[in-house]
Amino acid sequence: MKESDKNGKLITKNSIGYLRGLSNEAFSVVIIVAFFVAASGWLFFQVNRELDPNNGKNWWTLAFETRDATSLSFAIENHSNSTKFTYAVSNGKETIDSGEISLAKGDRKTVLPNVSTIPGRAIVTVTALDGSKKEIYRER
Amino acid sequence: MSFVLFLVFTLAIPFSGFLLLKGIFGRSFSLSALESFAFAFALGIGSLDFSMIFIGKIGLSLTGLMILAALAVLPIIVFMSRFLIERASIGKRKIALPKTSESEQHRFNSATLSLFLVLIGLTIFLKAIFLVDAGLPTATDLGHHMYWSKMIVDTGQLPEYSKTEIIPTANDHVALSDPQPISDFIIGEHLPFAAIAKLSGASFFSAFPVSFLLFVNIISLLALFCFSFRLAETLFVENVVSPITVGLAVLFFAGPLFAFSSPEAKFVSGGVVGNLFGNMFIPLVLLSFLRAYISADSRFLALGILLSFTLAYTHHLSSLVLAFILLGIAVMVAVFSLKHAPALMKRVWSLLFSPAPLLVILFVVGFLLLVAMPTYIDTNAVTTAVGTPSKATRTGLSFLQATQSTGAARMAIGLSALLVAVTIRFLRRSPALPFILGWSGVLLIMALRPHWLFLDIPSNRIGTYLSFPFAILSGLFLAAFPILYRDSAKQPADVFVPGTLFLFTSLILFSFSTWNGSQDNQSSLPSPGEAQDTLEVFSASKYIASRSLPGDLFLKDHNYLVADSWMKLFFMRDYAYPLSRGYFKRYEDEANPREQCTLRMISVPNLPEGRACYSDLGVNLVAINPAYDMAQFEKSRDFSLIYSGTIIQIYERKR
Repeated sequence: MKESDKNGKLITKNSIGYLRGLSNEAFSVVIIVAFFVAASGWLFFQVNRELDPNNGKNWWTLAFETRDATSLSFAIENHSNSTKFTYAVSNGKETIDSGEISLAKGDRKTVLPNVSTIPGRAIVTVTALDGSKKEIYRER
Repeated sequence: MSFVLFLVFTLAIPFSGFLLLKGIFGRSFSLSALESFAFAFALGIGSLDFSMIFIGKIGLSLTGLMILAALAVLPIIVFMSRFLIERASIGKRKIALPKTSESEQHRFNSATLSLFLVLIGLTIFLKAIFLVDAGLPTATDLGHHMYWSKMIVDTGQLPEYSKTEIIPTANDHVALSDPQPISDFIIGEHLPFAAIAKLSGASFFSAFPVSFLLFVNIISLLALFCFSFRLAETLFVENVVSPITVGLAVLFFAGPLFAFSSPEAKFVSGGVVGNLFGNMFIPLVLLSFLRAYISADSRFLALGILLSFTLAYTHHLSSLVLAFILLGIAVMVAVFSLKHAPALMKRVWSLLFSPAPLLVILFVVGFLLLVAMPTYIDTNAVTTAVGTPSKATRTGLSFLQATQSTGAARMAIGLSALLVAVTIRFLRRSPALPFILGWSGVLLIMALRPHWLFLDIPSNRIGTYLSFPFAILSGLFLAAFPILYRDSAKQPADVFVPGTLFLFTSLILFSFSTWNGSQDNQSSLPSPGEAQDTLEVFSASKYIASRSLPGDLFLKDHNYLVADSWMKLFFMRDYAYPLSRGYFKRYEDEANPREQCTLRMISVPNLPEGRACYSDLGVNLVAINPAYDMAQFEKSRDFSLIYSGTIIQIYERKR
């Protein structure tokens, strides 16, 4: 629609709802902001989803719970589809302690193995139900 | 919630800039809505930067409240001062306010408005498609920049740009130095991110940095559209080509066609913060100077100086590029106006010595002397950018490389436009022609023959600045194509009936541009699937950061770990912490010899040279990708494997 401004000049204005009366150019600014808001919303949604460790992901980690060189307590952080894990503590030759752990997706559990000091390399091996295996060790 | 607050505070920047703009122009506001929006955002960034620097320099903490004040106080003061002065002068002298001229509007009708919105909508949509796959916080440059922004948020202080380095000591030993100043970073690249993060509470590990850069990129396209419009308004005699057609054609070349290319979405996802700001400020500064020159309005000159000054506190390379562009334009203006040199000098003199530019110059000088200089003035950045090219990568691009960087269609059509621009009669009388000739000409020289200008900077980085002037030239050529076939300039473009040859050539031009642009987009699409690897690296970083011991020194690999530059955000100890094994080729660069310890400690930890590095530096934690570097650590008795993921392992060395 066309209207005259205060100087008598004809200007083109849009006629859409609440934005009625804005010049076409001002209207374009509003639409650009709306485009940006939509694109940004999409980006936030997608990145948040990708940064969610459990959403569509399948991974788990194994780590010693503390930096204390004498401790063999370890933690499993599970973001995989496996919910059962088995562990074994060994000195590289024989298994000294072993057990099973149930862990839901998104959970973390600390295990304190029933072992005394192991000289040399003390190895903790954890195997998930899907067959994936991880190992950590301490050299003494 | 942080998304909503991010939007609120991002959009508050153009709002505060708009108050400043009103303060500069007063009631005789001579800007179109799109120009106002683009200028307002850039001015808002400038105002925020200078206010935050001032607050930091006088020793106050940059708390949320202070940053809010930095966003609002200066614009309100400037706006209110202008309002009160105008009210007083109208009351006393009853002066008539100048009317807004018709040329200040872009004169969108329904058809051109629809086309404009389709082009800009398509551009944003394409960029968003690219960014949803590449928007994760993984890019190396973005990680580096966000470290400094996070430091501002965490400490409430302006950062000291420095880092520790590995330096040689006596008898072939090495040691960690005290923090040394670095010239690669400039405060203006980090303050806006810090402000938004502090005010909105948005995490740096989210889409906010990339979304903000997308907004900067959109504003730079609007600036390009507005510049093209104003250029075309005065470029063609008797309006043989509609300026809005030129603007739309330029948007076509700069927007959807090469939406993913290097200065566009790739730079957004890659966090090439300085270049993105530069690509926004340069067209806006040139638009200000163009409008000041054409309409003899000193307020535009003041605006241009203020924006140039903001750029100087934001990105040194873009500032250097802008300086050369202005020099190129000045040379072209002098060449084109040789006959009218005295009148030209008089015009420039009267523009410069007007209240608005003088006030801005006073502010600039005062800020430089009393508050803060750009950090690269103190370091050696200026001297290293000037001189004989010192490396093969700085001796200029080949024409093929420049074409690949700019886009074949833009380069081919743009060069045609350059040839045509100096020959056809419809352009000869235009005072605006030197602006586009100087801009594109000087950048071509900087990219292809830098030694002519005694420049010593990476030529591929200059090459990325070519895309904007060549998009303008291509748009001009596409829009002005009909007049090449016309006998008389008086025949209006709207009623021109194309002949078969014209129609055929236009179709070829359009098809070639569209094919080339979309091919560029297709080849740039990122491969999805880094999310899980990124999460593992972040999880390992969190693990070690939360179990940090005094005396720990951490080394990680940059070659095979994703998002590794973001690891430093978990520690916030030093820019160079964790230490990093860089790209292998960097250790072989004879022109720039560097320490070898970060390489040896991961590649050969059990050899004497690797062991010597460990004992000299005291590194006790190492993060590597087991697929590439596990073997050498596994067979060593010096290391314990304390963290095990699929793509990252952390080893602890026995003390």
